[in-house]
Amino acid sequence: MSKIVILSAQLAAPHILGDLLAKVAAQDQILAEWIKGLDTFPIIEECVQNALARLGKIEGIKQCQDILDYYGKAYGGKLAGALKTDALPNGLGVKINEKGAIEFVADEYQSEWKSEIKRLQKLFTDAFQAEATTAILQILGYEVEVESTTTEKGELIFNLEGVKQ
Amino acid sequence: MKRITAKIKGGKIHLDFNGFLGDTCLTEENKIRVILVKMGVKTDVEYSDNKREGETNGIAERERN
Repeated sequence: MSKIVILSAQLAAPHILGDLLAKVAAQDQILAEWIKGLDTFPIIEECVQNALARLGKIEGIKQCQDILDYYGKAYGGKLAGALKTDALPNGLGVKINEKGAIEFVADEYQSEWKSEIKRLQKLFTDAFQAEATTAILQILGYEVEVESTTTEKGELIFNLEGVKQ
Repeated sequence: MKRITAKIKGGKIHLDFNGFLGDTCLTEENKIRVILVKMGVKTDVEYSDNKREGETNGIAERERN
């Protein structure tokens, strides 16, 4: 049997999905215990860095470390990284909070910055989800290849293929 | 050989499982989803469809229509 599944996905705080873990445990108790104890924080950090680096290679987007507010003052908190564009010169910061959840930081004082912040957030979210899916398939023993393409509308599409003998 | 393809676009993850015996693709889907949630990616199943055995060569009937 083969299958097609479409998931709607959003960023949230990491947690254990008990019912799904129970289903995994019914098939593979050892793997379920391993997943339960898995510290995903380092994997999240790596996926965030990979997503930022991937977006930083897109024309018009620059990867950087700091963001500024409207008055040019640097953000004082710890950031995993940031993205800047001509439409958002002060940048969008990405941080990982103490619960492992990804948060965005930016000064949206100017109205034209708001739409660019939303665009970059969506791009980052898709890029992170692609990196997370890649990491998971690798954890499950698949050899993974990733391709990304940008549509004429500026949408980013990630195509992953995982193969296991 | 087991193959999983994933297309990520616009906040959706489109997974296509091929070459799995019986309901092992459901188990694999559960593993992927449970680790995604542990990595801070909240998922809801929007569409799920088992392909018939004859469609597992990658040419799904619905794609031909």
